[in-house]
Amino acid sequence: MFTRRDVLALAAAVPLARLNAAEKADRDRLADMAMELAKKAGADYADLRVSRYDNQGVFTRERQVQNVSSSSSYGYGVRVLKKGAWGFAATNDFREEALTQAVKDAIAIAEANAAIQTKPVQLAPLDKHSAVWKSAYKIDPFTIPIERKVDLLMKVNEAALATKGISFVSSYLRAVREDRYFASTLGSRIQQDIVRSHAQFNVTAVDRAKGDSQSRRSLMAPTQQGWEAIEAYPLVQEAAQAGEEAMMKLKAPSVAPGAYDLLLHPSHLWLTIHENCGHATELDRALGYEANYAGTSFLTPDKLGKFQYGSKWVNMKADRTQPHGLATVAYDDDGAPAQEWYLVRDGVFIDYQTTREQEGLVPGVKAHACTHADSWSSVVFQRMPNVSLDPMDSKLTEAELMDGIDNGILIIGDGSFSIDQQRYNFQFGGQTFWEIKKGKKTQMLRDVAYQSRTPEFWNSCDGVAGRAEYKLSGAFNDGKGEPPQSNAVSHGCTPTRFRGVNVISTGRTA
Amino acid sequence: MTQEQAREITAQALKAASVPEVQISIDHRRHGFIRFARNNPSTSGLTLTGTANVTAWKGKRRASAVGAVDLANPKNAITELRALVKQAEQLAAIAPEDREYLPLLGPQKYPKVNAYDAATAEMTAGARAERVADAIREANQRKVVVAGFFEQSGTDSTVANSAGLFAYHRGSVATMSVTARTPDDRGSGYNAVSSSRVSSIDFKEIAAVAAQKAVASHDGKEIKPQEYPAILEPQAVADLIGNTLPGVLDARLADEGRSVFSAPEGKTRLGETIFDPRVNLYADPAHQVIPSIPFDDNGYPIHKVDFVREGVLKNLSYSRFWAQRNKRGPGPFLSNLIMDGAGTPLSKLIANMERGVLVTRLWYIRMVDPQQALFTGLTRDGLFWIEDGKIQHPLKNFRFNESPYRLLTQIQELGQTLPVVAGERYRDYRMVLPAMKVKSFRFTSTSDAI
Repeated sequence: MFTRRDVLALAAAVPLARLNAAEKADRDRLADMAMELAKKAGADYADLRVSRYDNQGVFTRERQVQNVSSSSSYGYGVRVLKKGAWGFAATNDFREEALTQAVKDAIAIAEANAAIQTKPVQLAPLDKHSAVWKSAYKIDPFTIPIERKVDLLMKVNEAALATKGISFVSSYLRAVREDRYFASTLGSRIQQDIVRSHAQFNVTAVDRAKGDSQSRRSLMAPTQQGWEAIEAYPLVQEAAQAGEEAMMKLKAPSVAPGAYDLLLHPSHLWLTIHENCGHATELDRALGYEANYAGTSFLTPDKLGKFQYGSKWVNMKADRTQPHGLATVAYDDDGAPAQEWYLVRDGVFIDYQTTREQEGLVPGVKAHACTHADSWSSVVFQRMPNVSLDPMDSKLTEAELMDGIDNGILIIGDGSFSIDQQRYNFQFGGQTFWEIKKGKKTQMLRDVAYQSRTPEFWNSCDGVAGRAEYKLSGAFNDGKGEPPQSNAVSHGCTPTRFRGVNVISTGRTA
Repeated sequence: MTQEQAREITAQALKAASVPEVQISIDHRRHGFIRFARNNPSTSGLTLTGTANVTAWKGKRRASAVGAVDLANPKNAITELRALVKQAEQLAAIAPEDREYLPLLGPQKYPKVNAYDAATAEMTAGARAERVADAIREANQRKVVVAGFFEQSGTDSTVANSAGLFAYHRGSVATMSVTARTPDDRGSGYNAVSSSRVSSIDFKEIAAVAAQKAVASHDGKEIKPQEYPAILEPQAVADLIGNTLPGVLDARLADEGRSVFSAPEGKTRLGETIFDPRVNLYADPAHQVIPSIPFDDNGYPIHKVDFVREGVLKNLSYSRFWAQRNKRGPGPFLSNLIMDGAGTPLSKLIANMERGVLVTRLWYIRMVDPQQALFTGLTRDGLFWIEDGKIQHPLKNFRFNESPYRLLTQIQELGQTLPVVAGERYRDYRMVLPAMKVKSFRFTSTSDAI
């Protein structure tokens, strides 16, 4: 354990009244002190994350602005490994006493846990890295005046309300900036800056006489880009279309339950990929580390390399390097370089999402740099990379896929979603549902949800459209862990066909 | 942060405001936690956080700024709060007018709540590890594999504004949850307990109950998914009611025709008998078992209030704006939830059942249709077949498509109440809820998940 004298000696060498978290030099000094304190206290490994998170939101409904909000959060977390057990402490107090106390608290936790731990943590070898990286964006969304953002949302709302019968519309714009600094006792010093943007609206039509209401949300996906993504998306035109579609949904016939061929649009299928494959291929789940909350996985290690997860069309790729993917980084929160790899190849389950400490837990499974924390105050653990259905060399088109359907449904946009704790049984809704008869899109349907079992569903896949129709969607808020953490993640795919899927009606007779 | 420190910090920050209306809410939290899996600790930590949310109005223009604030050091806190006030003012200056503007709330009176236990708020890493070790030892003895989470926290919450409102609450919470699985992964059980006082939590017992359920649920048999009579343990009632009720009590949604409590022609179902007459649902921040914060985010008081009494919908929650529009007072709001039981032990509910299923926990509950309050989700960690008053065998899990509000019309018998926390959002609402026996529960497919 370090002493007060050690701290004073360090402080004298590195004058540190209260550090400015925004200054790189101060971060390096904070890191030097933290690493030294941790080593003197007997840590076998330590890292420090200093981060600042900025969020801006403009929220409206109908013809009024509900709120303009700006949030910033900065602080640091120290993680130590001692006697094979982890300890972590975080604070937003940048005084030297607070840093000293944080290291002391982290060491105390590691020591307390080591006393009851029977299997010590082992870390895979990792090189030292020094890097500065910025996500790809053209226009910083924080530089766009609030008035311009409000103006856009008001146009969106007016476009939606222009359809007779539309009673409500809400909309928002969000901008996120993450300024993340990482240092470790390996000598790594990594600075990463990430920008994300999203616009969203929800249009609702109400039939008061019948006591019925139907909504249609925007299909715009959150993205790791700047304001240029908002400008490029036809939000106002989509709002007008959404108003009309919400009214159509009120009058549309309810689906007759039964088996249908499904043609799933990328704006819908991303969420199915996320729940069916994204979470199922997490090694921490497969080994029971998430059993108390998010659950485990049916893809247990004995299935690795031999389980037929899907048909030959199914190639699931994990990728933390994909441009504009929400989970894209240059280095993960262990300081390991981002990777791309296949989880499912030609339908066979072949690999997991993993972190540095998970290498070797399953024979042959390597570390894939999936360590992440959603805040300086959160403990890092294994989080999902971008996971996408790779169209490989398919030359099919959406039109050709539809042409091959006699009795089916085209589903656009994501809706209600629920899946069991081992990722077998699931039920998904959508935003709009279109009947397909003899290869032609005919009328809108409502109350559609499909219920299936993950391997059966993906083995019923018999066509994936080619790369020209590839789209990346995703979410800012994938929840996992205790205390719960939120992860931004994207999933890409093209229009994809599934045969004979069980569709239920969620209408009033359900 | 004491009440006096909170008063001083917020007063100093409010003094620096250049607009007449500013509201500050701050949370100061010490949060210790230890996660465990495969009968070993995994990620653990201690976080000390200060968070402030400042809203400023320039005329009817409103904006808010949220930031981390160093509340451990009053001098820093005042400086940082003043910076947030300035930021909110700058944003408000360029924000459009808020058509739903209302003047700030003045000073209020709050119910007295005894929710703080220093031993719980200030636990050490060693004490946390020792308690978890008790649970792991029990799991080892019972030859089950456990994963779980223990967390303890002390939080000081303050709301102050330039109209003189000042609200302060200090609370502590300790929550332990355990999932036990048989070593062959063919049985799973869960148990969770939350309390303001860690001394009232029996860690060994929590693991023992989870282990019993894991062993009893081993190799569940598949039966046809359909409607069955069902007994829901208090945990399952919490998962379903606790996950869904707070979101649908909003009066504006009901008035706008978008909720299960909407009636045709723009009316609501307030005053109607909507549930079985044995249903009483209410909030009480001063409840002895689950004391909770006695004010909302704007400092509006939360008192003991009925939402449903003898099956009649008594109250929906009106925001200040919606209340003024409807010429009535705002609220009532809730920060916990209580449903009366009938004192019948679970064993007797089972003994009184001819045939049906016993549901111990529900999971991944999502809204399918707001108009019907139709939700889908799954059973998890122990589902059993009851026949002739006895548990006959475990069952494979089901997916359901069901409305909790239909279930509250289907009650046959209520059981004993327990303090429970909903599995998917347990840090938000603590509840005291009974076991419930219902005529029918709609299961729509089976799940292979264990």
